[in-house]
Amino acid sequence: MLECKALSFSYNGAENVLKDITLSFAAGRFYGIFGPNGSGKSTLLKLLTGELKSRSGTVSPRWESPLIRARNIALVEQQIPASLPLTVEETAALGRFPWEKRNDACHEKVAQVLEELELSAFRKRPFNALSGGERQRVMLARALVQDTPILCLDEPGSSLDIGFQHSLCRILKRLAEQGKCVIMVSHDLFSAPSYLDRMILLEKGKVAAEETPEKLRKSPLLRRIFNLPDESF
Amino acid sequence: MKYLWITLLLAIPAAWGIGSNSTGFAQLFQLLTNGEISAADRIILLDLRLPRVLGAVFVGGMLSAAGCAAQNLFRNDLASPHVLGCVNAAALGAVAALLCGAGSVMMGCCALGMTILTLFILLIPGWQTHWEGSTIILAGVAVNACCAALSSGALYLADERLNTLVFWLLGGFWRMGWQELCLLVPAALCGWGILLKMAPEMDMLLLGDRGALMSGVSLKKVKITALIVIALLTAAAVSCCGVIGFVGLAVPHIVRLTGGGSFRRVLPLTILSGALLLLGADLGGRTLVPDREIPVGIITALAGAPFFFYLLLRRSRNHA
Repeated sequence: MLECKALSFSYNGAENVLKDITLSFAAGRFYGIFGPNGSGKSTLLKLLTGELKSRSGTVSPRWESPLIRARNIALVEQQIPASLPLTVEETAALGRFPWEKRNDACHEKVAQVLEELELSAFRKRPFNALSGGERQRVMLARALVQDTPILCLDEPGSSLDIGFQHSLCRILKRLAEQGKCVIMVSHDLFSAPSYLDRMILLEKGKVAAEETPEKLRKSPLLRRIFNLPDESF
Repeated sequence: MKYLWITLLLAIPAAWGIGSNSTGFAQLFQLLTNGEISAADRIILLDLRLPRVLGAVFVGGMLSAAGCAAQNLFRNDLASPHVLGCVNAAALGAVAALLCGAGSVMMGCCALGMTILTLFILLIPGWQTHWEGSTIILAGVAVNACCAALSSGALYLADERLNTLVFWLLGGFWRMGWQELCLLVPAALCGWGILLKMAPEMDMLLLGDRGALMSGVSLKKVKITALIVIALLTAAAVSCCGVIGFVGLAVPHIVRLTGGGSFRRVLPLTILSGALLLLGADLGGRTLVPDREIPVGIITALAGAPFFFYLLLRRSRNHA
């Protein structure tokens, strides 16, 4: 569904942030990309989504235009907009843009997604009146309304409490089971792995491991890379 | 929206019938019912007051639409055609034309030319920083200062034309005639139409550049088009009526504070509110002091700023 081969990348000709990365992502799987700060997680995600172009290596498929990409990949950013003068329903309806530019808040897909994410009760509430966790769920709703086969998330749980993080992972797991390819960059080594199909561990721009969460949690690699005490897992 | 339309449709004939001289509603009624009126009344009603009233409506709608688009485009509450330097650039072009003794069409062309030149200057840092909002706004502030200084220099050289130039720079509709309306109306309809067509993209920009790009918005195309429309609306308005501040900045905020919503909903409300505001300000400007005209820019700032401040206080109380 999405793959990269021998991918290397550097910002403005400086030292490579990513070195020789080869990975493939399949439909119906939930992937987590982990690594210490500066290991290249977000850069890898930007290369996979086509936001950044690499001079070395390939990412396939390559999307011909932003619109075609938006019909295939949806992104949930770490940064939630500080202020949106829209209701929950109108914000979610922004996800219809790649398909129809009407932003019709009454769209069937919008209602369905809001129902799935238990946001129907909030649909007429102003976005600016929501808590951080609710806002993140609305941004996820917008991405789901985009109705793409691939869903990417860049540290989506960083502003959420532990309950919301579990709830988010349960939703993402369910989406993967429904056939989507879900790729999440995360720092949450404690709650997220139990929902993942595959964990990708980056260290200094290289893939240190690509394994099932069960295997990786038992390996000393995780503790070494994050400099964690032995009893952490 | 419905109430704004009704108010505007009632306000236009009211402003048409009210003036500082004796020509009033009786003459207007006679004119509209094909009655006999004097040649002087006919000139006052048809050639002086009507273009002026329509000019205020269009200019109000144009400046507030430009402000509304700028605030969405840069996701910045302080963005307005004034902050971007468009107003002072247009003023500089028009002042230069006025000093050379040019007519209204030439003034319009010079204002538009200067605004487009400013736009290109703004686009240079924009191109290098991937159209990041704060860079363009800061560049706008620099251009603004430069154009304001050059306009002041023009005033210094104005000699006996100083009064005309100062009055013009304070903003007013005393020059407005059918010729000016012929420039305003197509620019307004064209600008409003393009902005309404771009409403979905303008809403997507609220998600931030990354969010909009990943949702399929062609950022460069949308930003350049919006900037050109802002320049067109501002240049046409400023070339006909001088510098009228506050409208572009405050009217979109007033609309959002009282209702808000998507760009498709906010833009028409902003246009109607801006039109009403300037219509009222012009009426006040020409009737409040007998035999003297107060520049519209002074009225808008004096009357609009306290109201805007009240709305901000009300919002703060609601959030507290």
